[in-house]
Amino acid sequence: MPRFPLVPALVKNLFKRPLTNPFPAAHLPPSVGDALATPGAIKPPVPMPPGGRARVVYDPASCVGCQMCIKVCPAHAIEFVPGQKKVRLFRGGCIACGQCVEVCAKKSLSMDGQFLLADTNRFSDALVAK
Amino acid sequence: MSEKEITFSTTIGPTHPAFKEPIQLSFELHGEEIVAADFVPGQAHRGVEWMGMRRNPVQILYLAERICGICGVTHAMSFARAVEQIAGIEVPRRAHYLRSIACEWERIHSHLLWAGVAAHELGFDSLFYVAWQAREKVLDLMEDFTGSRVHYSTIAIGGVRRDLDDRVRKAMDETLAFYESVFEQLRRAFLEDDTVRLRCVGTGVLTAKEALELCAVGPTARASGIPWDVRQDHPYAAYAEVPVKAVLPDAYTGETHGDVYDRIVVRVFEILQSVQLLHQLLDQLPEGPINACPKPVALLMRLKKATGEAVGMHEAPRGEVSHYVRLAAAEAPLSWKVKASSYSNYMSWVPMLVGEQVADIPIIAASIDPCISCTDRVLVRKGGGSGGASSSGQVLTKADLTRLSVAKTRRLQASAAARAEVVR
Repeated sequence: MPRFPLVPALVKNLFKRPLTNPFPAAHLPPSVGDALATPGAIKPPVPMPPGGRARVVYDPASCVGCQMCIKVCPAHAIEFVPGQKKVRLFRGGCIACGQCVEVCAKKSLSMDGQFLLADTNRFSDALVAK
Repeated sequence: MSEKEITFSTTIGPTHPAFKEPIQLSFELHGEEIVAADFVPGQAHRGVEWMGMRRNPVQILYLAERICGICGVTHAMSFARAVEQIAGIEVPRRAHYLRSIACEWERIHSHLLWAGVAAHELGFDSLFYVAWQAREKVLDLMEDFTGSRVHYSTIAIGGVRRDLDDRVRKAMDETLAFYESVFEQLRRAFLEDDTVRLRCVGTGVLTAKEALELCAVGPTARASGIPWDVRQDHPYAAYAEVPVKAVLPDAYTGETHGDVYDRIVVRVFEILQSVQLLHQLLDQLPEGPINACPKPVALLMRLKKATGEAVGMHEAPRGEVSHYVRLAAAEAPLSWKVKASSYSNYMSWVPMLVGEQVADIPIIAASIDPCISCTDRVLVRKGGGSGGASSSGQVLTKADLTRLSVAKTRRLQASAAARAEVVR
């Protein structure tokens, strides 16, 4: 007799609701940002656990321009602005390894858990921290 | 030529839906049967080592991690081991354990990913979803443990970056219990299902002799009965204190065939082995510091002064990975060479594929768990494949093209003159 051990699991799955949002454009809300704010409109992304690495936030006021973050950045995503003795961080190139955050002596860099960063312009204000 | 000897050639790739990454396979076919097989790698070269020549070892570590999109620990681990040997950095005991813990979780997730891909290649998509659903738990756990789902960035030169706290420890115990509860279902689904057995038993055989001759590594070699495992043969990290024995298929089936089914057996039982290892590692986890060089400035200065060469090895889910690093008292390393595990396993495709049918190509190609983009470093073909037309290997420069063009004009002129001679 042929053995198909997966059949019970498959039958069970027939009665489960999908975990994902329906994809075709007809199902999409007009604005994903608004829909995320409205409960129940779409299934929200799974929240990041504490300590999850995502967007880097820069506080220029406390930065002293020591350039250590530039030395450890694997993606060369941080550049130095010599006139102001500050840095500029390009989130489009950032790989979110979190090295700069750990190395910063003045705690000018931090991560805020925000990971929905898509933009059509890689030099837009949302993608350049300065 | 008799009818039996007539073959036709076909190629699959470089980009083809059957492969997740670009590689070209070419076949000589007699009907459905494969008479000869060959492959052309080098379609996904990204110049990672070239980028490394312009970065310091602390930066390279996170670049190395991004060589592979599946094994987030593997390359960072090998690279860190090489650099630590050169700079003489002694990794604390707790860091060794935490590294091994990350490695074993990665093995579970990589093998489940492979199992899903293999099922998908067989056309058995329900099994693919079952395997990937189980895999999701590791990704969530690793996000909790290290901060990211795939590129963990948890290895640092001199230790690890994050300690294991009570909350994550509890999550690990829960996830281990989950895998123990689903293992039996996965084992039955992969090893007892008639669909899988029909397609995999006796398909793509690699004998132990061929595996030795072609230097296969990892589960590909172990499925052919070669008991090789870096964790067993050259213990590193915590594997000296938590011994590992290479998983061989005969422990389950009673005999070794070296076919696709045996490769599934090895991987499925390595998932179980990893779960057992994780229990031991978590139970024996010692207290203490997690990084020998917690200060990045001091570490960078130390690495800038270091001179020497070393090879760092690691048993990745696909087999042995090695990184050769040479530091010469400078910001960037003098040399960095990466050998991914699939590099050693590619050649075993040829004996596996010959004699099989076209329909078996996807599952046999997938059975070595190829990681194609990891493997592609630099491809140099001496003399080129174009009959010596170029003076510098594969690349035809402008000068080469001019030379070829002039030569063709001369040839045509000569033949035109010869024709004119005949007419006259």
